[in-house]
Amino acid sequence: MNTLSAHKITLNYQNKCILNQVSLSLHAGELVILLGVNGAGKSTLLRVLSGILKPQSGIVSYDEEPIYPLSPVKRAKLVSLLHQDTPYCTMTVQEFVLLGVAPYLHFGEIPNKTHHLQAQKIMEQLSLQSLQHRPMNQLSGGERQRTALAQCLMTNATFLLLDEPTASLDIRRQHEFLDLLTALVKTEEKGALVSVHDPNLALDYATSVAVLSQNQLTVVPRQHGWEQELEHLLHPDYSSSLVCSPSFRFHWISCK
Amino acid sequence: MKKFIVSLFILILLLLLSISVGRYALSLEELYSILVGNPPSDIAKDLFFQIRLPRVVTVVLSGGVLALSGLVFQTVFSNPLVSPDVLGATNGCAVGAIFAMLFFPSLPFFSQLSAFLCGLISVIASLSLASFVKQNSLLGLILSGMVIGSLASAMLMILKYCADPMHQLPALEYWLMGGFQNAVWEDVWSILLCSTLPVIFLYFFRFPLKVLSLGDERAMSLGLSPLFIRRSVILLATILVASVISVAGMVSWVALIAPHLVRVCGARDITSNMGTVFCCGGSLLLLADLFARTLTTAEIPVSIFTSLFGASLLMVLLLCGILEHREVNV
Repeated sequence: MNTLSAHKITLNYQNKCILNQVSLSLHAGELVILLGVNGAGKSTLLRVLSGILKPQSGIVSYDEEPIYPLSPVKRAKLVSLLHQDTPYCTMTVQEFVLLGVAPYLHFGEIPNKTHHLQAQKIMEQLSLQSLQHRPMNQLSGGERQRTALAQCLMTNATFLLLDEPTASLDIRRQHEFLDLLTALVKTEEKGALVSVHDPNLALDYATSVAVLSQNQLTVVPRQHGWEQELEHLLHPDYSSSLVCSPSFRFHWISCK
Repeated sequence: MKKFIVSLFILILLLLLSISVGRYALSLEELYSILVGNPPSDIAKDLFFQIRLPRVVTVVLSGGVLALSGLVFQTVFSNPLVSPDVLGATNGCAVGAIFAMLFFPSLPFFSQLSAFLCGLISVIASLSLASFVKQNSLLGLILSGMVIGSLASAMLMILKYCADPMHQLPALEYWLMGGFQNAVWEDVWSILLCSTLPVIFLYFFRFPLKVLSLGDERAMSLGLSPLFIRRSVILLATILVASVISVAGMVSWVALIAPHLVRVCGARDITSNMGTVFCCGGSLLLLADLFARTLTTAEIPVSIFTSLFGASLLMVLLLCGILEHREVNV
């Protein structure tokens, strides 16, 4: 039973409450989509779950075992975070992907042949092999995003926390990215928590949706009539501009 | 690997040139016969073993070690303009070394230790001062480096003021300008002894350093501790600077310029080019030292040449816009 769970997380930043008593469980084999407006605290929640940010109160645990006492290396082998900003550096794609083995290397060690093979396999999976010798700063936003995901997969972590991975992708690539992720979650028994902005993507791909609104988190599992429930949850942030149509798609209706 | 072989080749060429050129020239044949144990004369043999060889070895080691320290500082701050000179480490080390020379001249290895401690204090002081500047961390780093550097120069002046103006002061002044004219085998051993372990450790740190260049948060989510890496690496690099300064005085600019030269020559990933950077620093300082002792009949302090060369090279790089300004993480 692989579960990453947050229990009553409260986090204040500069006297402003960001997360208030937030609880969430992420099981392996699940793709949970995290919705919320800008500044709702999605990135903060993902960072708390990955263990690099410590909340004022509440615990994050893996199978009932709190993750903060774990060493950073053990944590990195368990949870991998894809950061929101795409990395911009002169490293090649291959070098960048290989950095993902960092938690497995001893002091003074560098990636060996097995790691190179592993990286090759992951790059093939994400169709990056034609780009592997290109420097990162010559790639498009979408290619950089896929490279960053490849690095996350290199850590072989069970839980993937992806912070707006589709933000810089065109519509087709957004769907390709999430198709790929769905396949990964199914075949490799990973648990993914993905923050996106488009509620329709959530309807298409999520096994459950977590909505972060007014410092509170509500989880809606996929079931009959969940669209209405989501519409209701998104209402405080978007008022009546965001409407769910009878064909179960969200539409934006201008107030004017 | 190709770059390393080329730089090693250049270094060996310069080494041979440096050994043979001088007031008393040694031809390559003479060099060969000395090396195989059949010296043409005792003077040539003594010159080779007691004067030229220790000097060039000291110069190569100093240049290489300084270049490595510069590489480390630049990588750790993700900034191509940071060097031990900028952070006040050089001045701090000089204060420590002078203090040891003035008050405890006979204690073995005390000048190295005192140089290291003072250098470390300067680096820590400028880093903690820089952490108060929130908006522009690069500006903060450079400004606080200037502040600490001036504080250290003030200390230097106090120490000079305390020195005996007839005997100690001229020697101190001359020493401060940096130079290898008195290099002996003890200097070689001293540098080797102080810098071998730090260099090995820094070599072991090359992969974490590469991860750290992605930024602190990414390094943390990959299971590394940025603070620990940064602190240990700065400590090691400061030992390197101190080991050179306590032997050769203030040798400026090599630490800043050598990694740049390697970068301009097309090395993208500087942390996997530590050997090349070492050879490049060694060659640079060897060249400067060659000019210093052969251009005129008297010895010119080597720092004059490294500064001239470094400043003009940096100017060219600035004019060509090669210096890229990347994000800084302090």
